Amino acid sequence: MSRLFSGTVRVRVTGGSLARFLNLCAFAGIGMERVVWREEACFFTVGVRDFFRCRPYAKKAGVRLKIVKKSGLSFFLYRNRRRKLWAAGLVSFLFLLWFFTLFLWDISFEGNRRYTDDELAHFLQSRGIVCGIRKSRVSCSGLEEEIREAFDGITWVSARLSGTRLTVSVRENEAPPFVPDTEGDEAPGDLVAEADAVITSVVVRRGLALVKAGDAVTAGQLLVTGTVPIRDDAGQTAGERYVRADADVIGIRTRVEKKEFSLWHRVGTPTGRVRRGLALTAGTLGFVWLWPAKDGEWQTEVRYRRLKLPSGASLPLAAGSVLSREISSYEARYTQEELLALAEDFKRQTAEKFVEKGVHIIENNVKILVDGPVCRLEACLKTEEPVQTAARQTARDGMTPGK
Amino acid sequence: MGRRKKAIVSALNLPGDVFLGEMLLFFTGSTSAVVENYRSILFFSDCTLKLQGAHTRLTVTGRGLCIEYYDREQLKLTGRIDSVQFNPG
Repeated sequence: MSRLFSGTVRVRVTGGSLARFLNLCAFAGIGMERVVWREEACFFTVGVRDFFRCRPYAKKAGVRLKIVKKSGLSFFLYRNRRRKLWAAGLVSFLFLLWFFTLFLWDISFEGNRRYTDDELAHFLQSRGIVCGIRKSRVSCSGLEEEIREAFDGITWVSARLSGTRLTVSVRENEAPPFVPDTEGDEAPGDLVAEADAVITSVVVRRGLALVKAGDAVTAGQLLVTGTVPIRDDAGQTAGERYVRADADVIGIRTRVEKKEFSLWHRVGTPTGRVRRGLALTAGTLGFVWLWPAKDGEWQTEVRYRRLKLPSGASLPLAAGSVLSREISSYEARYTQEELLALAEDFKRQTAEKFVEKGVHIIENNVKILVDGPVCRLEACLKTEEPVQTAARQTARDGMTPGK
Repeated sequence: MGRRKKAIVSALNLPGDVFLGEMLLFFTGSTSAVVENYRSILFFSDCTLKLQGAHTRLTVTGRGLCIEYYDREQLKLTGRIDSVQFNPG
């Protein structure tokens, strides 16, 4: 590194005894590099200080030294000593670079699933933390506390400033959010079947089960009643107690998901003509330059790349390239292969939707029904899931909530 | 004395470069070599490098030879190395 500032010189050696000169320098501890023999002369690279140290040995060995190239910061500055505006520009650039690093230019979120980036960003915005403010105005500890207080589902928050980026890492509570009981929730009620199903298991917490595993039920059929009979010592029904039925009634049911779309769709085929351009953004300002087109239909794609310092600090500048392809579009009918691919995609999306809800899928089939210009996809799923739904009991005289 | 010393070093399985001052050579393919324990440079050109060791002389021949760096202890040679020869001396 010191050589970078002090500089190095490339020296040509002629005449005398080269080997003796090299040995003398080695014994004197002078570090020479890239010693080569070219065109009847030897060349080597040495630091400026070492060059002055090796001159007596050159005299002793009878060789002549001639500097052929000077490199390093000291020589560079000396060569450009008259270019004051250039130096001022460099200093200004460094100053601006340092000045920009005093501000916050990027906010990122990690670990959030329930709360979206936009939600968290909006919250930060309401607290005055936006891109472009001074970093000194951001209190990470205060921000952590505010986020914890504002979002119930967030159990742990870490806000850290690295360079010009604020990274907010959160950890959310895995348990479902607490839903307070309402008056209606405590009201007596039954559980009825949501759809036709075959019961696979019944776990009753409150109420009286009217079905058992293996029973086939129809939609609306009473599964668990909230009317619990009170029997006397003789086993006779002495009265009834009304509770809110609570149970997990799992059953196998069939679900049908449908999607309709036109068999005709627009297809764009690239003609091969392309236009290129440049895109620049500075903060909220954007500029896009693209070579103008006379006619045709164009599909344009812009790819931005945020400028960063080597230290990783982000700058409020992004540069990118614009690529516009001319397309020739026309109406086309879906082919059988395309319909199959769409059906597979629909099947996968439907399955993902139910898996997210915790539904166990046993079978998943999809049908393609073409009716004139319309295509209908029907996904038929056999699922195992809770089939009960709450139903209000009809009002009775002397009704008392059960304990 | 020299022969006796060599016998002792060999019998005790001691490193020759430390006790006898022999040269150590490390090659990376035929494009790079590092020589340790040499005494001095006898001759250098773009196709020959002659080094003096404690008991032997080393001659490296090749094309476009370049001494990347050197000091009293070691020397790194790059270029296309064709042959290495040891001569008594």
